Amino acid sequence: MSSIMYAFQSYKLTAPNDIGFNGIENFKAVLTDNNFPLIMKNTLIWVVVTVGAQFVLGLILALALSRPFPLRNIYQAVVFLPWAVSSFVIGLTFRWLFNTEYGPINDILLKLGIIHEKIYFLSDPRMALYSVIIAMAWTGIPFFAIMLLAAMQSIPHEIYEAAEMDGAGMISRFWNVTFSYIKQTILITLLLRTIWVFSSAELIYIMTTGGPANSSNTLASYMFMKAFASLDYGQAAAIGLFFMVLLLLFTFVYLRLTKFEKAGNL
Amino acid sequence: MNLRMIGLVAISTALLVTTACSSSGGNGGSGKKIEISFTDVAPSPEREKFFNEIIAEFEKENTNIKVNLETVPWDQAFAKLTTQGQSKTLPDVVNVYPAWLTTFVPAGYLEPISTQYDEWDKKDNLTAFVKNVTIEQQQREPFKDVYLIPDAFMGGALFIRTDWMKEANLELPKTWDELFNVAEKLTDPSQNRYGFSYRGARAGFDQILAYIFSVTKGESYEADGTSVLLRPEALTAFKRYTDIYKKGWAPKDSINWGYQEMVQGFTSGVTGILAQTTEVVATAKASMKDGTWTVIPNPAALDGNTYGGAGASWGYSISKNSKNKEAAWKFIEFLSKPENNNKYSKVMTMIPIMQDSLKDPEIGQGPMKGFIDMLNDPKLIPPADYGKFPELGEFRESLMDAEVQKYLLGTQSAEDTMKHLGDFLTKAQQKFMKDHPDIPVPHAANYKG
Repeated sequence: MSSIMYAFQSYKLTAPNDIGFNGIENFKAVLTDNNFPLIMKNTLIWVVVTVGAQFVLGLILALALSRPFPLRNIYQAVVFLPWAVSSFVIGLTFRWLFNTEYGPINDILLKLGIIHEKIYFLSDPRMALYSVIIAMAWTGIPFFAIMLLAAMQSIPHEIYEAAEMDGAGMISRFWNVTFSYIKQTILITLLLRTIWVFSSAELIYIMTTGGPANSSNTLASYMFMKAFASLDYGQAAAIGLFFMVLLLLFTFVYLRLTKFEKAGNL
Repeated sequence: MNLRMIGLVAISTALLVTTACSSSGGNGGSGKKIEISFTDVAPSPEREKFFNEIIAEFEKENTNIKVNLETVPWDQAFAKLTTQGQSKTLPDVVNVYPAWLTTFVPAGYLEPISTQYDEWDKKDNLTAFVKNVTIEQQQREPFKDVYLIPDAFMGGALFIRTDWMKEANLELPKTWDELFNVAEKLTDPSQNRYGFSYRGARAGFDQILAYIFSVTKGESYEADGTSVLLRPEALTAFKRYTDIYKKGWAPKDSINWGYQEMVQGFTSGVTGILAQTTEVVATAKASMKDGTWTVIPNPAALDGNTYGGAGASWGYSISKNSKNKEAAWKFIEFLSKPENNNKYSKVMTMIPIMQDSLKDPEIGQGPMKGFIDMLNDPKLIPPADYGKFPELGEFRESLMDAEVQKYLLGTQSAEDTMKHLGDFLTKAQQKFMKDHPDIPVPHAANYKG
C-alpha cells in the first residue's frame, strides 16, 4: 500500500523537506526517461534468454539424473549446489571470472587457442547483459532440474513399459509419456521463474551496476538503483507499480494461452 | 498443522516484543553508565582494531561512558545513514563524508557543534587547511555552523611506475600535457602495458573533472549558477582527458573500472600511472617491489597552480537525535587528540589534522612525502565542489558516469554528453540558489591567502 502512495509523491530521501504529493510526475519522469526503451528491451532479453536457458539446461539435467547410475546421489548433491549459494557470492565470483585483465576465463580461452583476442565480458555493451545472463542462468538450472526431476519420478514405471511394448521409440516415449506427465510442472515452473528472474536485480547490480551506459540495466535493477543509489523512492515506487501491472498482465495472458487449468488432464 | 502455526506465531511475536523492549531500554537511567553508539562507515580489520583500542582507552579515562562501535560498509553507508536520519535513529557519533553534509544538514540530521569547536583547546593546533578550508569555507560559510571535525586527509596524487619510466627514458610529468604524453609513451598493448589506470565507472567523472578544473581555474559554476561544463574550454578538456581511453592508453576494460580495479590494474603491472589517494600507499607497498614505483604531486595547470588535492576523508559528527551529546563530543575530542589522530593517520596512511603531526618523521617521509609536499604547496588551490543541492546523489549515482560511458562507446557525442551533464547541474544549482539565496555559489579557494 505505502509503495503505491510513494509512487504519487515526490519522495527523495536526499530532499526530505520536499516530500509531498506530485500527481503523476514520477510516472512521467520514468516513461520519458531516455534510457527507458533500452531498459525495456534489456528486460525482455534478460527474461527470455535466462528462463529459456535455465529451462532447457534444467530439463537436460533432470533427464540425465532420472536414470539410476553409480554415485547418482553424490552427483545430484553437487549439481544442485548453485541453488544454495547466495547471489552476492555468485555475483562477485562471476565478476572476477569475467574480468578481462586478470580473470581466469579469458586466460584459459587464450591459452587453449579458442580465442585470439581478449573478450570484454563486462565492459563491452554488447556483451555485458549476456555475461550476467550466463551467471543468472547457471544459478537457476538446479531449480528447474529439481522440479522436473520430482515430476518425472512420480511417473509410474508401468506406463513406460507399456509404451515400450507398444513399440514407442525414445522420442515418442519422451513426448507422449514424460512430457505429458510433467507438462503442468513445466508450466508452473516457467511462470514462477519468469516472475522471479524478472524481478531479480542483485547479480546485475553486483556485476555491472547496469553499465556500461545502461547496457545491462533491466527494469528491476533500474528500480533498485533509483531506490538505493539515488534514494528516489517516489520514482522507484512508480517503476514498481508499472512492474506489477506488467507481471499481472503477463500472468493473465500466460495462463490463458497455455490453458493452464486443463494442462494436467491427460 | 494449525496448532503448530499458532505456536510459531506466538513465539516469534514474543521474541519481537522482547527485542524491542531490550533495545528501547538500552540507554541507561540515572546512576547508570551512559552508552553512546559510534558508526564507522569504512570498516576494515585495521580500522576496527584501531577503534576498539581507542574506545578501550577512552572508557578507561571516562569510566561512566561506554562506546558501542557499529559499522556499515562504505557502499551502503550513504543509503543507510540517510534512512537512519529520516527515522531519527542515527548513532550518537557518526563518521560523515563531507559531501553528505549537503543532504544531512538541511534535513536536520546533525547537531551543530560550533560552540564546542570554538571553545576547543586544540583548535589552534589544526593545520591551515583544516581551519580555513574544511571548517570555515566548507562548513561555516555555506551552513552557518560547524558540523564535523575531520578525521584525517586523503590527498590525491599520482602513483607512477618509475621502472617503466626509466625503460622508456621519460621524466616524471609535472604538467597535464606531460602526463598525457607519458601515458601514451608507456602504452604497449603487446606487452599488456597501458599508460593509465582509467576510471570509467563508479565516480569516474570526478577524475575527468580534476582536469577540467585546470582550465576553469578550479571553478564549477558561473556567478549565476550555470555549470562550467557548458564552457567551450571545458568541452575541449573533456575530450582531451577521455582520449586516454579513446586512444587506447588505458585498457579497454577500464570503462567498467572503479576504485578497486584501478588500484589492481596498477599494482598488478597492467597500468603505469594511477591517480589515487593516500590510502593506496599501503596496498602498493604490500604488493609491489621497492624502487619500481613512487608518488608524485598532481600535475600543474597552465597557470602554474595545482587544482585539486586534498579533502577530509571523513569527519566525526553528532546526530541531532542523540540523547548524550556531551559524551559524544567528549569522544570526538578524544579521537582528535594529536597523539590519537597521529596513530590513526599512520594506520590508515593518511595526513593528520594537527600542525605538530606534520613534523612527525614517520609521517613526513617515504611515499607520503609526495602528498604532504602537495598539501604544503602554496600553489595548491582546492577546487569548488558540485554544489549543495539534493539532486547531487542522483547526479553522482546514476547520471554522470553513464553519460560519459555513452561517449566512450561512441553512442553519443562529447557535445551532447557535456550538455546533458551541464544542464542537469545548472538546473539543480539555480533552483537551489533560488531557494537558498544566502548560500554562496561554490568557489575555489586559496587557503593560504
